[in-house]
Amino acid sequence: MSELSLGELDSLVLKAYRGAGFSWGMAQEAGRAAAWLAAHGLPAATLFTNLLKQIDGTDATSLTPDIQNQGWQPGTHTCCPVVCGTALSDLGLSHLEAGNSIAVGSVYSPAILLPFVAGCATADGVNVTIRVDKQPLLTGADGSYDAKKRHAGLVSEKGQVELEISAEKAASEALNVRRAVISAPEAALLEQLAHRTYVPASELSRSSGAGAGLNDND
Amino acid sequence: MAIVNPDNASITLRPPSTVMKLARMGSMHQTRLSFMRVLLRRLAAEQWPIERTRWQMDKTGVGVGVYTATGPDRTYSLVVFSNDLDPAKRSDRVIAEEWDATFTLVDGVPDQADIDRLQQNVPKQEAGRISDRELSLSRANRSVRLFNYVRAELAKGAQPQAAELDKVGYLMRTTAVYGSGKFGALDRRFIADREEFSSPFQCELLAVYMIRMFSVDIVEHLARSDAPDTAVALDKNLRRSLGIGNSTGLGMAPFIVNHPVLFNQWMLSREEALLRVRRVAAADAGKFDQFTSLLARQRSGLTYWLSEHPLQKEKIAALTKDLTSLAEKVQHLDSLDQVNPWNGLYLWAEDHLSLEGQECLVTLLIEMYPELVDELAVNMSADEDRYFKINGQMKIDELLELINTHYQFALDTDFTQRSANARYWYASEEKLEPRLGERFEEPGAEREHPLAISRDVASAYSDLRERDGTDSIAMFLLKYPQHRHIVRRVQQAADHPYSEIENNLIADDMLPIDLLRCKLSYFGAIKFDPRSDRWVRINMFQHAPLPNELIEQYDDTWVYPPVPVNV
Repeated sequence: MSELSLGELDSLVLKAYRGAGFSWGMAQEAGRAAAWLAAHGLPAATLFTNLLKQIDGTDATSLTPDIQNQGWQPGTHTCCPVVCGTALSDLGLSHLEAGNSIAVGSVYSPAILLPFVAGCATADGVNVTIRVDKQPLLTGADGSYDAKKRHAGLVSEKGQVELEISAEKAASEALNVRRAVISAPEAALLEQLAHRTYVPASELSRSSGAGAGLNDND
Repeated sequence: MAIVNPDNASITLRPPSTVMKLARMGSMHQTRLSFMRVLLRRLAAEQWPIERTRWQMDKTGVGVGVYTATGPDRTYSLVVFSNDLDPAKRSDRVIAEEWDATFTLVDGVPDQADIDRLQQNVPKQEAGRISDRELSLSRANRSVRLFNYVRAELAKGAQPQAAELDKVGYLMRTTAVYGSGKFGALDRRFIADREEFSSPFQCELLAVYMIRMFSVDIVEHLARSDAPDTAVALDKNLRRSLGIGNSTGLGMAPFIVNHPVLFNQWMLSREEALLRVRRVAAADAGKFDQFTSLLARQRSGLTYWLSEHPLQKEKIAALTKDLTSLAEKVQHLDSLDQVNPWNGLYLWAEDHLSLEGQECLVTLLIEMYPELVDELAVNMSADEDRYFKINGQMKIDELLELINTHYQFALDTDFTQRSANARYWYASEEKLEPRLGERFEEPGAEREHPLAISRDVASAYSDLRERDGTDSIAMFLLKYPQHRHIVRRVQQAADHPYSEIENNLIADDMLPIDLLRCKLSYFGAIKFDPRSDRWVRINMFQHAPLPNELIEQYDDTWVYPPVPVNV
């Protein structure tokens, strides 16, 4: 196991997600979500490694939820949590009231939804419980959020997700974890995907890509 | 005392269409709001002692040094690993693997275990790891010619010639100063709430200030090793005339594109400072004398702004001529009768001076009114997270309107022309550093980074216009995720009018050195010396007060060298 700064994790996941074939704007969301998860003491590298193993090479459209006129239609396919999360964030939850719920459907690595749902909840002033296969994800019986409780389903590879708007305010936790933990195989997989965003050197790029110009040793 | 007339509505901020052009950005000079200036003002106001607290160097200059800066709340230490580098290995390029000296800024005071750990990592730079105890990682090489000359003179017991020092301006040149989160360092978010780091890049520049101290200490150390009986220390006036050099390449260029909200704060603060001075209702004879004296010092500093680059040579020549015209113009101004005298001078400059000259005038005008402008420095940071979230409820028509308002420059470009599409930005596999490729001559354009803002805005605009204008952006992005990065930028631009460079960053005639110059001017760099269209050398902290002077006799106009008495 080794440690990364949150900035390094953000950048690695951004490149890996881009390398897996998603747009730059979505990759920015993925990197930022990873840093949020790590800052909350959650196993961000494991979650994204699991996710990317499952979705690498899959066309983005088949990982996108079916949404018509702001209504979620859980389909038969399993979606990417970054795609679902950004869609939730974009559509917002402000039109929902306590007791309402959204059936998001089947999602890979559903814990990755957390930063998106948390961001949405703050922006729209609502409290949300995420249920994965009917179990609340990282929330206690009173609806409070507790990152320290390692729920068995946290790193599950996929699950049926439902969001429920609750009346009670969730306890918020300070962002104070400074380091992201990553195992060697996780780092290897993410770096392998990130590598697809790099351009190999050529004679031309060596001589002009960074602009050799004048002698620099004087 | 200056009187600001807040009702002076006819004098307004320079519009982004004037300011945000690469040709102008590439002509900007440091100001009192530059981050080095802000740092030294703080160190002086808060009386930070900065001392060398450890020096274990052998005769060849190999060893460890520690410099400690103590503020009211916290202490920071620069740990130096000094090397006896084989000259064949000395290169400023990012491809180098060994340096004359390597550095890290420690949050606090390092103990022996820290030093041992850092010794295993810091000299390796990118190939090593630092920890959340460290805030920066950097390295420097000697300017061989000047370093050896100074070493030999001091060893003889003589002082080097001031003119020889001025030709180079520094003994060592840093080739990278990494900060926030890089190579394991602590992320900025965990120190952003510290008062001393409220302005950008303060810990990196604190490290650079202490590297400057080291550069003189090591040359004195080697001179003493060479000739213990005759060697002398460097005269303090000469010491002050030396800054620390820096070589910067493309790696830095994308920063101001990738941080639009932050960049807006930098540009807007500078523009607001200029506006406040242009609105000064009247200036007395004393203010005009102050301006004349600053101008003389600025002109004197030009003498040793040397560059072999044809474009920069031309610009320096134009600036030299401009400052002469400016001096004549000011002489003939009847100060006491003028309303908004500095506005009059600024408007004259727009018609008569080159961009270098105009922007140099901006610097001098801002310099004279600390009481109006210094408070703006606190606005130069940004909580970028606040603006990351896309407003999906926005209607397509509203986004189109924002593009029409803020991105006309992008819509006016014809991207079917090869010249408009000539380049692409990418990360190199070799060094993972940003590079610029030729789209039609090199493979790899499919791995392009999202820095072609103009082209991507134009492309999003075209798709947006195909949709029902009353649809939400949320629904649009579900269908067009490829436009997500651009939608985010356009929404950010709504509240941040100075966030976008109004040029095509992939055009065949784009000069990356303009991006570098702009960013480095905000750092407080001087003596820009482009070595190609893609990398530049600069000087940092030249003429800056020495550590004891920060405490005893701080002169806030240090960046303008004194006019030599014999001139």
